[in-house]
Amino acid sequence: MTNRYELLTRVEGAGEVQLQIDAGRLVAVRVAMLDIPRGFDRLVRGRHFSEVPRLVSRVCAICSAAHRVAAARALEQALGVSVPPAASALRELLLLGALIESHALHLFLLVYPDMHRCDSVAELLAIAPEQVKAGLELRQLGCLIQEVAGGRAIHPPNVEVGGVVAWPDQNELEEVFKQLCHWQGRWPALQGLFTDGNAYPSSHPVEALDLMVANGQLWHDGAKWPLADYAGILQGVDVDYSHARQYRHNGSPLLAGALARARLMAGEADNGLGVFAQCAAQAREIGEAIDSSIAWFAGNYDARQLSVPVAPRAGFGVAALEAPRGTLLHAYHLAADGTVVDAEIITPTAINQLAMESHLSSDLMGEKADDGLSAWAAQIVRAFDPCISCAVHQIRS
Amino acid sequence: MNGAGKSGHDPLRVGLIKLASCSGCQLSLLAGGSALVLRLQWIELARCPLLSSAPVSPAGCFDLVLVEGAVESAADVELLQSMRKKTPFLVAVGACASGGGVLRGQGLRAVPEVVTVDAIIPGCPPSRSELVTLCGAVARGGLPAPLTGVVCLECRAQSIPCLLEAGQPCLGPVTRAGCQAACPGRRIPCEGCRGWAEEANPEEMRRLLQDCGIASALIEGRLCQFREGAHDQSL
Ligand code: SF4
Ligand code: SF4
Repeated sequence: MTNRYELLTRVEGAGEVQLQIDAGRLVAVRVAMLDIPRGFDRLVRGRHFSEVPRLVSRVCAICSAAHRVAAARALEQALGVSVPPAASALRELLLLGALIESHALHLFLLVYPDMHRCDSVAELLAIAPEQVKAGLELRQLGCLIQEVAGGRAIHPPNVEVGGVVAWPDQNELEEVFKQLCHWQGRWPALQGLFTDGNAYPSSHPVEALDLMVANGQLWHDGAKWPLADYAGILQGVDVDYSHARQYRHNGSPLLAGALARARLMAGEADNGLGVFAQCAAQAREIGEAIDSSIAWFAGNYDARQLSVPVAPRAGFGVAALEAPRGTLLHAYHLAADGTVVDAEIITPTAINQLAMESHLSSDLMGEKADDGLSAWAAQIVRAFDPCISCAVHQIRS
Repeated sequence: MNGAGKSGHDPLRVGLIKLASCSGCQLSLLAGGSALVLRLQWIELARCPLLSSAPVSPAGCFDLVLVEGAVESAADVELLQSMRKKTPFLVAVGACASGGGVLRGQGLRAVPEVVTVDAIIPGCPPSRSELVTLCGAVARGGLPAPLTGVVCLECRAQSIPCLLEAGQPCLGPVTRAGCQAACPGRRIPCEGCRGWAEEANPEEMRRLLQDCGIASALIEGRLCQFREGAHDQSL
C-alpha cells in the first residue's frame, strides 16, 4: 500500500489530492485543503459591525463581492434595518459582475488548458489565441462591472452596512451597458467550448444532495427550509487531514454551485458530462448573467436614497446568497454596542469537500495508478471549482 | 543568477508565492483582458500554481519573486529563505505581506520580518499598474523609484471633489499615493489600503475622523488597519 500526495494546481489556494494505491490500483482518495487558516470568524470578534464588510471581503479575492454583500445583509438583519431599493439593486449588479468574472476565470484560465493538454493559459496562447483572448476579455467585463458597481474589482468598498456609498457615474454605466450588449452577441458562439461532451473525460453523474438558496430559503433535497435552520442542514465536521471544515447532511455529501443550481431549478440532466456538467452549467450561467445585467439597466433607481442610518443593538442575523461557486452563508451575533460576539461563515467549497471525495471515488476507484491518474484526479477536483482560501477561513473547533 | 545581465528578449521569470492570503495580489497582476495577453508574452510565470501546472525545477532561479500574504509557520520561513537564494529581487506584495493587512494582530508575521526584501508594493489589493511597472523595472535590471505623496494629492491633480469636506471619513490625507485616488474617484472614501505615507500626520487625521462623526473607539481600527510596522498598536 502506498500513498501519493499530489499538489493541486490551477485552483484557487493550496491543496492536494491524496491517492492510496494498492497492487497498482487506486483504493482510496481524499482531498486536503491546505491553505494557511486565517481565522476570519475569530478575527471579526470584538470588532464593530461597521468594520466587518471591509474585513471579510478579504476572505477571498475572487469571491470578495459575495462575502461583502452576504456580511452586509446578515448584519442588516441583526440590526433590524432594510436598505433602500437602489442599494439592493446596485449590489445585485455587483454580484452579476462577480459571477461573470469568477466563471470566466475558472473556465478559460483554469479548465480550458486541460482541453488542449496544456499546463497553463500562457502555453495555450500559442494554440488557441482567439479563445484565450475572448476569455480574458470576458473576465475583464466582470471586473469592470464590479469596479463600476462596487468601486473596485477586488474587495469592493462601495458596500457598507446600511446600503451602498455612491451611485456610479452615468458614463461608466453606459460603458458597461455597451460592453454587455457586445457580449450578448458574442457569448453564444463561445459557450459551446464548455458544453461539448467531447471536451472532457468520461465521468459518472455527481451523487450528492443539491443545495442552493432561493428567496431567503435553503432549497435542499426537494424541500425549502428557513435559513435559520441552516445548522440542521449543514452539519460541519473537522477532519484531521484538511484545514477546512467539511459539511454533510446526515452523512451524505452536499453539492453547491452552478451544477446544483441547474439541477434544482431546471431539473436538468447532466447530458452525460458527469462532474464536467458543472463547467457546462457555468457557461450557461454566464449567458444568463449577461442577459440579467442588460435587464438591470431597464430598471428605475432612485439614486438619492442609497443608505439608511444604522444604530447598534444586540441581535442575531443570518444571510445566504448564491456566490458564483454556490451557497455562501454569513451569520453574526452582535452585542448591544454593535460589536461582534460570534460569527460563522460557511463557504461553497467547504460544503463541496465531501462531494469532491466521493466523486473522485466514483470516477477513479480501481483505476490503474499510472502517470495519468494524478492529472485526471486534479481535473475532476478542478471541475468543482474549489476556492481554498474561502474554505480554509475558519478556526477549527 | 540570471537577473541583471538578461538579454532583452528573454521573458522575465517571475515566481509567485502565496502565504496566508486571499489571492487578490496575484489576481491584480493577472488583471486586464488583452493587456494580460501582452503581459504574458514578456512575463513568464515560472512558479504560479494558480495559473500553471508546469513543474517547477527545484534548482531553477527567478528574475523576480513576488510574495503575497503573511507568514505563519517555520515552513513558510524556510520557503522564503530558499527563494531568497534563487532571486536577485524578492518583493513583498500587498498589505498582508508588507504589514499584515487585515491579518494584523492574528499572530502572523509580515514578510520583511523574516527575510530581506528588496521592495514592498503596498495595497489591498495593489494596483495592477504598479505591479507591471515593477516587472518592467526588474526586466531592465533595477527597481522602480519609490512613490511619494498621499492619495489627497492625486485627488487634487484630478480635480476630484474632497470627500472629507463633504463630511465623509476619507483616509486620503495619510495614505500613500499610487492608486490614482481610485476610491475617492468613485466618491467612496479611501480606506487607506496602501498604508501610511511617510509624511502622514496621524494626529491631524484622528481629528478629521472625529469631525466626520467617527466614534473614538473606531478611529484606531480604521486608521491603522493597513499600516506597516507598529505592531505595538493594540489592534
Ligand atoms: S493584501 Fe489584500 S489583496 Fe493581497 S492577499 Fe492580503 S487581503 Fe488579499
Ligand atoms: S483610494 Fe485608498 S482605499 Fe482606495 S485603492 Fe487608493 S489607497 Fe486603497
